[in-house]
Amino acid sequence: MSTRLVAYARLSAQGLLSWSPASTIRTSWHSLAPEAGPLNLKARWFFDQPFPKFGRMDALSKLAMAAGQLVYRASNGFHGLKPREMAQVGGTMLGCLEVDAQFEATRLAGAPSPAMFVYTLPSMFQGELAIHYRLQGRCTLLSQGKLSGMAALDTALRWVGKRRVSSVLVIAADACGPLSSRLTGQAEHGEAYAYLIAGHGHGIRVVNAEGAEARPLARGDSALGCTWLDTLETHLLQGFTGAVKAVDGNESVSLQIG
Amino acid sequence: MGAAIVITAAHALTPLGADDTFIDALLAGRCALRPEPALAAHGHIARLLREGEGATKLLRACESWAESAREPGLAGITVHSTTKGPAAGGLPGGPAVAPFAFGARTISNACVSSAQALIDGAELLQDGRCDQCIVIGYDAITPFVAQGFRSLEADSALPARPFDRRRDGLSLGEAACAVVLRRDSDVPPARVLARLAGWGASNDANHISGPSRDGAGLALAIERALDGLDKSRVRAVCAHGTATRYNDAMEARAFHAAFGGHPPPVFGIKGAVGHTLGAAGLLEVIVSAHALGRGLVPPTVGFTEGETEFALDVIHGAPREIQPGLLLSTNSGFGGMNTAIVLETP
Repeated sequence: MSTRLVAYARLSAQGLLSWSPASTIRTSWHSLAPEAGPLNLKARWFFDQPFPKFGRMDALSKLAMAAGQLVYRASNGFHGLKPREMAQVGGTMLGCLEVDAQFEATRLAGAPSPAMFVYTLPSMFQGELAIHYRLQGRCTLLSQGKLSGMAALDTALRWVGKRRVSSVLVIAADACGPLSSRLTGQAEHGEAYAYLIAGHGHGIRVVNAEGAEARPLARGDSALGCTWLDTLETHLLQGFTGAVKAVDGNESVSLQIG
Repeated sequence: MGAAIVITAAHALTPLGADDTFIDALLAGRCALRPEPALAAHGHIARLLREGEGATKLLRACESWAESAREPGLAGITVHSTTKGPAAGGLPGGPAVAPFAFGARTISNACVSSAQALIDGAELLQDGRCDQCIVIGYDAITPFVAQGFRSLEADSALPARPFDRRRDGLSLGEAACAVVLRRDSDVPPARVLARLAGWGASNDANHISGPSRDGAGLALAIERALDGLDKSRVRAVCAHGTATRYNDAMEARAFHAAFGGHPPPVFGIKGAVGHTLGAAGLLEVIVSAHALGRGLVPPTVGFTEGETEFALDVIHGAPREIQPGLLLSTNSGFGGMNTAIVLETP
């Protein structure tokens, strides 16, 4: 089956972007609020209705929810897709490390926080997305180092391509806050990429391309589990046709665009 | 459904012993849960590790087994799972996956992690990404985990009593386990431990840490797993059975919904070895494969008397003989995740 990217969104230090075949919308952080940034998200910037739970989520879940909402809007409310069957694939390298450290601090202080403990699992953002959009399809979350995001995309393309599911919401995200920055040596940053993949509808044709001759993707500004996703965005949105691959050591992920 | 996938080798390392010793202990109704005040200050835990040892030891034990169990010369992929999800590329805070003969991917989906990893591995084989797939599940209990569950008041002061009317919470446990998956067409029948007859997964889309009240999400996963199969051939269900009030009630409703009000007999192993978190799904698939192979289902340790509100035939007190057929293993986890895996007698 031909698989298509029917909507796409991204939040990174460079700003916010949402794309559908009908339009591309770029938004700067500063236009939202002077203090806005990937690690400082407010529900009101993304959601029309009050969403108090958003404020209680960990940084990873907030990033994923915001990216999910951008792609939800870009797809006109998942138009033509069936939420009950929509699957989710996640990709992250750091996962919940930031909230792990926060929970551990409460535990060591003698008052472990149940509200934080719930988020000390990397896949919790998929549960939040499922609740918010009533998504009842299968979920998996991959942690495959720097290839996490690319591997998530590859998995989603296989699922739709083999007709296991009709649509997949892919979220690749990493939140590297002050605590995980200290542990990893990475600069503090956050980024999230959302891809809506379907077996029908308008969009950019993207399929698995294992073993194909492929153009290596350059490493751009994206890091951690989202490495290569900003350069992939350039290829997707600028009309590139052909196979591309992300290579990390002995492992690689290839995709065919167009 | 694509190519048929089979389990050709399995390894289970638990506080009740390894492999056949573990299965014999389950059949004998033994319990490994002990008070662990240093870790939990409340409940019972089935420990596999000693003081000072960590999850890395469990991972390495599985990797060593996998090195000996894999077929040299065949392309393969390893799928690891834990609730915390150490990355194949190396994640601070978790054990890095060792340099291994195969490419590795790590799946972290709360308490369905290793069940989802098994599904992932089976589909990688179906899609021709490898000729064999090793699936590894493991988890260790640390003060972080034990006190986290305590903070949610999810653990019991007593050993877990799955499906019992007096159940009041879970007990935690440690385990490491692994299987080798192959395409059925690639191996002689004598080497098959069990066939994966179907699988399905779903999300409750209901609550981030609690099970749905009506069991509709799990029932959906079961329906997906049993699609195209004869439900009347399901001889038993290896339930998630955490022994929390809400989980077991949710499962009972899901089994009734999925089987038209007449669910097969149910059993669970968490009263014997505790809730092994990221290892639970795969460990229970291995137990189910042995149950089919021996024609004998282990009793549910901790169960004495069932609920009147949800009538389930909970296997307890002694093992029960089953005829060749299908066995369903289900798991659920935080984030509303559900998985259902159907095994078939080879």
